[in-house]
Amino acid sequence: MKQIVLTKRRLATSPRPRAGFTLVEMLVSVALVVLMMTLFASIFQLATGAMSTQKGLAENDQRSRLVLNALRNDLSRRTMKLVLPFAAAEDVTQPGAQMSLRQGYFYVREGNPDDPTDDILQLTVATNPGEDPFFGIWGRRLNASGQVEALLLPDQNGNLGDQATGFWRNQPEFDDGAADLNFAASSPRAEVCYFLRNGSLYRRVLLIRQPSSPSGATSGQPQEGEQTLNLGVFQASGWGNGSPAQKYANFYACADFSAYLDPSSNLLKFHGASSLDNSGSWLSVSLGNPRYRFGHNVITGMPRELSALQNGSYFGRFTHEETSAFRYTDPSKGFGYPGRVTADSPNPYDFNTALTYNAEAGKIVEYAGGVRAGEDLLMTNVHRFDIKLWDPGLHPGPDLAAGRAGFDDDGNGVTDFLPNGQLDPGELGFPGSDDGGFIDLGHNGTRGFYRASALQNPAYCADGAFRFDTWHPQVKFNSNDRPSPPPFRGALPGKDGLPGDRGFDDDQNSQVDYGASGLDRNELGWPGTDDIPLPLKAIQIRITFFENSTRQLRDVTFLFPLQTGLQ
Amino acid sequence: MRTILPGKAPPARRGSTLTEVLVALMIMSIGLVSLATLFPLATLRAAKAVQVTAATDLRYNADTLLTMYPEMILNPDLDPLSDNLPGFNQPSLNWVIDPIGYQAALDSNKQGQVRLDPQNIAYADFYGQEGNLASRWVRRYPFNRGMTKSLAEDFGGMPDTVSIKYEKTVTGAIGGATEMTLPADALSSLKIDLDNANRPSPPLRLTLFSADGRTSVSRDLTQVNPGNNLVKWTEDLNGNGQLDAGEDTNLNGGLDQHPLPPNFIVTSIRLEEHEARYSWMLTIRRVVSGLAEVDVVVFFRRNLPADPNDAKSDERLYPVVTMATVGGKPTMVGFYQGSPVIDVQYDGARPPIRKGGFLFDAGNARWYRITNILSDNGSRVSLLIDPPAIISSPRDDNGNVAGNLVMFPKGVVEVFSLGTRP
Repeated sequence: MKQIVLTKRRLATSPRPRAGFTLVEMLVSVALVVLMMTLFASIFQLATGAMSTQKGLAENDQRSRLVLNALRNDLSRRTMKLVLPFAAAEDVTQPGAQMSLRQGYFYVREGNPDDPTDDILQLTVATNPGEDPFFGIWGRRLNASGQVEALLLPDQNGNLGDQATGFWRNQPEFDDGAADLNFAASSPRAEVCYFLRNGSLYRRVLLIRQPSSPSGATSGQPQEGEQTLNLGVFQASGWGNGSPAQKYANFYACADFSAYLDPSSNLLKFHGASSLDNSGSWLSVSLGNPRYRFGHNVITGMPRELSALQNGSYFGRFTHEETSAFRYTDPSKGFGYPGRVTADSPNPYDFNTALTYNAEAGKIVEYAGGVRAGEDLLMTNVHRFDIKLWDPGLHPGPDLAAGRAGFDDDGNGVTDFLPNGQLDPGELGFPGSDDGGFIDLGHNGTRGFYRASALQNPAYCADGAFRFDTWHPQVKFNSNDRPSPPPFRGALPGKDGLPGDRGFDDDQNSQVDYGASGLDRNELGWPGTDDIPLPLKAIQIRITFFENSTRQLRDVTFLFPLQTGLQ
Repeated sequence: MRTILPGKAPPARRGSTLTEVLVALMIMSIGLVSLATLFPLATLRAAKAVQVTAATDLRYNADTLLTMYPEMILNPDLDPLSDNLPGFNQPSLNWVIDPIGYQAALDSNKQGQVRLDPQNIAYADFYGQEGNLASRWVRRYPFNRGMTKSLAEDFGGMPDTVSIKYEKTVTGAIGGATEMTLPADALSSLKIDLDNANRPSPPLRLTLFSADGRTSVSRDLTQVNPGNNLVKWTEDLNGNGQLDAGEDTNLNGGLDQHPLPPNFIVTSIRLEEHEARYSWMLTIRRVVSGLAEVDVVVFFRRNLPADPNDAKSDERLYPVVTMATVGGKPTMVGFYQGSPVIDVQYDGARPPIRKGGFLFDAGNARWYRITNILSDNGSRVSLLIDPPAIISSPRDDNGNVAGNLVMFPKGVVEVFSLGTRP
């Protein structure tokens, strides 16, 4: 009884004791938790490490897909379907010239063959029917009030027109078919250029005009015969007065078009569809002629890819930032070409115009700070952009025989090898054989059509770089009164063993089949003869991407055939 | 506010027992383990994505080579005498162009001897084997029989895959250099073979990062000297300034020094080993005269033809014994046009069948994806394939099914159709 009373009192006065952890339980639990957390920390560390690596890999993959798609699209849309350089004075009237497949140009620059960062690919492209056109801008410039103003060209009477009365239709603003002022431009044709500078890969697109108006549709000029009046807006006299005056001081700041400064009129002219035609005379304007292209000097025809002709730094092409550079305080200075070339804004493609390349910033100091910086940037952290060409005469291939093994391809009486055991040069690279390989243009070998010693036009490579250029048959390089040969051209002499027509001076250079140093190489592959022209068959581009966070390198080797659809 | 009535104790608070803690831990572990399993799954998916990207790149490269060398369709044995023969233009003729596989099958005993089956047929000349005999259903061409192993790997592989073997910070101006002395520990950990001119096998590459971090230059090593840690990338191995036998690595007939760009300043180096991880094979079906269907098969770490007597050989063919009711009676049909199911018979170990993997119909030279494994009784496995059989297994002159054979090659990443080619 006493006990019960006591119990009741305890219940009434104090709570029941807590059944908590014992020390042992606590220690065991903590030990288990620590063990498990350590285990999971290790697992998660490994997992997140692997995920991070995978993220780097995926990032590089994505970059690779982007660049390769751009390259693949551009190369498949090239206008120079048959990548065979024109010989000097080549007879383009021959059916064998295949001029419909040889429009525009295809250009590869190989600087130092051992340097994978100084190559350039530049070409003309055209979309296929049903595809979207190439896009750019026109007239998108801010006035002094900070408003976007359209750049409109006056009609033949000098009137700008207005929305009510209607604008002059044949001008870049309306090339995209839109009736309103949208500052956009488009065209089914363009010049495209890829180059690497300071770890950044650039892709520059310059539209070749396709006016929506029938007038000037071929030449691309805003107004046939009177274009000089319209395009003077890029020169100081056309700026007008007041603060908006500077808005047209720079062509590339407000235009993505392929254009050149006409030396005779000293005024800007556009390229149009007719500029892709390579069958005209020396006087015709053709993009096959280097002088009319982006990145080239309109006077000399030389490209400017170095800051100086001797020991200059490589910069590739001027970037969008540089070509859109001008000073707001003094708009007469800056990158004036192709709108104007004056003492204040000298021709940037002239090696006499001093340029300073800042290697750390990767910029041309004189033109840094342009308003369109980065608009042509395709990819950063690119460590290599190395172009190799398929040289059919590089080596005899796995069968070790010149041409097709066991066949006297060139009909000179010997099969594959000369009596002295050397490879028969007339067979090496013969179509249908396994001969050839990818190699840098201007390589140091003794075989092949693209070896350094096969250079036919040293003047065009006077800056020390090697260039593959599809050329124009009437290019007169360095004011020579005779058409000049392209830098490299692959061809075999055919069964007669002689270039062109046997005993005939095909190219009218006063040399019949033989020149001062052997065969007249300019006649090799002459259309309509038994010669065998060897167009560039394929291109290899090796690109290396670098992913910063995981420091992973990703190499991509991209092969592209340049004879798609051709026999 | 909580009120405690006098004379009534509050509810007792009880601690957790060890059992409860362990159960809680177990539940948490299950959760964490489930979470942790997502990581490898994600990694596997990402790895697969990387493989498919590389495979797509390789598919385009193979397409380019096919465009450059239409002989792979027109005259795959490169025999000029067969140029104008109707042989390769014969409808229903199938073959594969398999540069790397051919080379491996030819040299499968690693002694440079041609491996022949009991009937004196080279295993290399056919894709697939029935028992210990080379199967006659699909011819295999290397594109060019003169190819060495390295040329075959260059032609039919992807040169872009390397594994990093060594990495270290090394600073210095080495513009124009054609050789370099590596840190003392660089070569010691490598497992490489050197020939008598100290050329490394597998091939090694040195990547040098520039001081500004914006570029790197890679050079294939032509010579490795473990004694003094000197590595060279010039072709002039003996340093005499002349092109000697065996020095012309790029086969251009000249001596290439491959100096580093002028003014190059290095900040770190990587020593990398080339790994031929990806390779391609073309499957060609001459459907009608003048047109052929072409598939590009891309492999990752392909299990190359090894010992043909190995029961696990990757090119072993298995009979397809699918039954169907034809003309009112059950008949063995093999692949049956329109049917998504095939039954494969095997002895011993099950063939390497993997859901999501590929199989090769040898009778018709067609590839299918295995979408599911329906059943397996230890000697017969039933598979769901995609697409459903495009064409039935061929039949012999007596109308009996023939060529009802299937192969399960490992490492197939993707099969790309290139459509029809002339």
